[in-house]
Amino acid sequence: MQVSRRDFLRLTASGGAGTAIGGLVGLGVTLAPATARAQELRIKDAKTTPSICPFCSVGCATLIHTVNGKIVNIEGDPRSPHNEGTLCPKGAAIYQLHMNPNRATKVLHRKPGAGDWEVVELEWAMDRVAELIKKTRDETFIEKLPNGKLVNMTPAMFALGGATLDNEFNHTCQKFWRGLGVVAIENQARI
Amino acid sequence: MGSNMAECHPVAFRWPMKAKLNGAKLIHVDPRFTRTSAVADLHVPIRAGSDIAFLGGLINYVVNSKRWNSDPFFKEFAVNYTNAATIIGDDFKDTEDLDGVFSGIVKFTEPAFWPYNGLEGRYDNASWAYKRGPKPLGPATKDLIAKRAGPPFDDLVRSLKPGPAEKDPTLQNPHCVFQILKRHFSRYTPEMVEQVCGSPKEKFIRVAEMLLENSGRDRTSAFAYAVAWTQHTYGVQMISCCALLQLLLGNIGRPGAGVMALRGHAAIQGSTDVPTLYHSIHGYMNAPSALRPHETLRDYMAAETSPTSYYGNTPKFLVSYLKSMYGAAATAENDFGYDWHPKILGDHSHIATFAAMADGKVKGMCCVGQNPATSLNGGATRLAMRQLDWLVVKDNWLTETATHWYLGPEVKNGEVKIADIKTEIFFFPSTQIAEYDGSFTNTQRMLQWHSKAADAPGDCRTDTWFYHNLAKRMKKLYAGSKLSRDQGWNNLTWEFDFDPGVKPIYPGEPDALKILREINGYQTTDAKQHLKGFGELKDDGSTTCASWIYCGCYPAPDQNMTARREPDPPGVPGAHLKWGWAWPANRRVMYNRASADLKGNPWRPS
Repeated sequence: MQVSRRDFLRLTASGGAGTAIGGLVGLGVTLAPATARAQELRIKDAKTTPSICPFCSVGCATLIHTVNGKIVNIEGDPRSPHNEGTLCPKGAAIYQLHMNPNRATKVLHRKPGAGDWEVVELEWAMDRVAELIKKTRDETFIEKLPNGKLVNMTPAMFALGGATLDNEFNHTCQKFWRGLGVVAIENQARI
Repeated sequence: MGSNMAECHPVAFRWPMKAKLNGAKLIHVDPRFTRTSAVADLHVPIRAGSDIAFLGGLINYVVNSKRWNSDPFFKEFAVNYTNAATIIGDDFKDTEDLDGVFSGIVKFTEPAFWPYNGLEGRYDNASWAYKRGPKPLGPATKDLIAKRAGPPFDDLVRSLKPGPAEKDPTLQNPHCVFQILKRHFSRYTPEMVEQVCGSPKEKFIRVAEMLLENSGRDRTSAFAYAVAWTQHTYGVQMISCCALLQLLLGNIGRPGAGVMALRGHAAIQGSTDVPTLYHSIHGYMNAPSALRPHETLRDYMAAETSPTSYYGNTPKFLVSYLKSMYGAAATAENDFGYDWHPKILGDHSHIATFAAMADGKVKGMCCVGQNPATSLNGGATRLAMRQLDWLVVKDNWLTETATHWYLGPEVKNGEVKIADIKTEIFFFPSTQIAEYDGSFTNTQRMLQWHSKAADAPGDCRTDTWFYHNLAKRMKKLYAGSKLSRDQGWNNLTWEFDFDPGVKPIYPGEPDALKILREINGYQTTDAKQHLKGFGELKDDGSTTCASWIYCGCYPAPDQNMTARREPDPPGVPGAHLKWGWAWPANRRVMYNRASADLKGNPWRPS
């Protein structure tokens, strides 16, 4: 079969969600019987928990299947008016975000000038960060500007956040920093 | 325009594809021929960044077209639902009169206390104001501020009300908004568009004709854009220009119309609404600033209240927000703790802050779920980070930001020695989406709840856990301080622990629903009495509400509207009002009064 670049783009965009499988479907290959059987086995006896895809802003609803507290499958929620059970290739791989041997699970600390990380206790690291925040705040706090304006702030700390974090995170983050007088609070939403 | 929707928002792109099967026309204006172009009815190439010329050309074509001038719908919409008929004051001068700038451009002077405001070009827009009749009689704003009048702040808001704006419903007055707009865009001819944008004239005219054919009483057209607009320094102007075109075409506030932002991330709308952005506090109120007349609570209200719109309720939004910050310590006597709230010095945005960091003015940084070492001039970002005293990275993976001090290109090629980097660095592992509770706000302003399904491994903790547990530590470290600078922190409320007897999902994890409750708001005397909508907000401290726009998402302890998953039955072209919750007030189409004529009848009888 001869397929030009433009033809391939046309087929993949119309045959689903722009995936290679979409391309195969567009070219007349059907995978339906095999996938239906696999789905049925994977979620047998599983508990279902509603969730949302953490990638783009469309907000596709997902269902998380767990067996004995272990994630076995994540798929689109067929009830969702946004995605009607479908997911794009990234969304279909949410499972791999969780069940992944490369995931970081330990707290690491690097001393000034040191050449390596050290694995440290979570509670110790939290205490140390709190200490550093207090030190920096106390050393740099500005109550009034030279012109007499009351500002009660410090420009010397920066809180930068991503945009796949919950509203509840954003609220606690901005409340924490504004409460301390820190104003440089930014997010992926800026850029 | 400015988006490759088929590949970047593939699941949402199913809907324009379905509309196409129903006869909708799909146009893709983009420098590249992508998968989106491949299935569009028309792909129009455009020189990257020249979108304003293209949109301006469409505006010029539309207002001079036969259809726009013969179908009464367009003028009816423009006269009644836009400010096209409003007369502008005589002092306004357009770019044609002033060699490329509008009247009121302000010469930039850098404030010595924060020399990073260089990008803040500014107009004094006094000369752009409407021509108005006499102001209503009453006490002057400055006297009310001096008298410390209110709460309630009704008198203050009333004193801001201007006289009625003059209008010309025939749109003929040369100083009316419509005529100014028509003159301004008259130079944007199809030939000029072709020259500036590189888009063939014939294709440009086809776009204009298709838009006109598919807009009106019976049909609507929508624009969708993404970061290929927003990542220009003049992205705001592109989007405003598009909104102008859509208003002229009657495509605002109606189902299937509008200017749609295809935002990039799951909660990027949420992080703009619940602002982890320096320039705004909850619900799009401007952050108190040392550069604006924000000295006192009343100064802020006088400067920031827009008295002729719903923002006339700004005192209610602001006082309820301050109550969410400082709780019982925020009283009418101390202006609800306004003085404790920090003021910005100017530009503290991403780039300005990294510039200040490179100069040694930023000592510490907490980076959660973000990887600046690889974005926006990574070299300069890493150079800035090497000047830090301390850096915290919290993420699911060891990102380039976490590893810049030993894997950064400057370190690998020997330019920088590891031992010379004096930064103390922490890495905290994070949970993934299925491992905690919370809400995202999607690109449609819809809040959707997700629930915990599994435990996270090792020391992985939620990002709210991090700030919750830091806050508790900071509370201990400042306990008992009598310094005036510490009073704001010591009075900040922080009550997100699970109720006694309820086991948190991780040791020390905060209750996400209590955080949502503070965002939604409650009666100050009883946190179990949630607010049902922003109409309930008061300016006397009796209501506590962080975000007035989110008010109503959690109207009762047993009603988390964001967790609803009840779609409309099949076959109904429904708005799915019981699926999640969209701000404001679960409205799915903003400014939807414009979806019906003056008598309230839908433009298109069903």
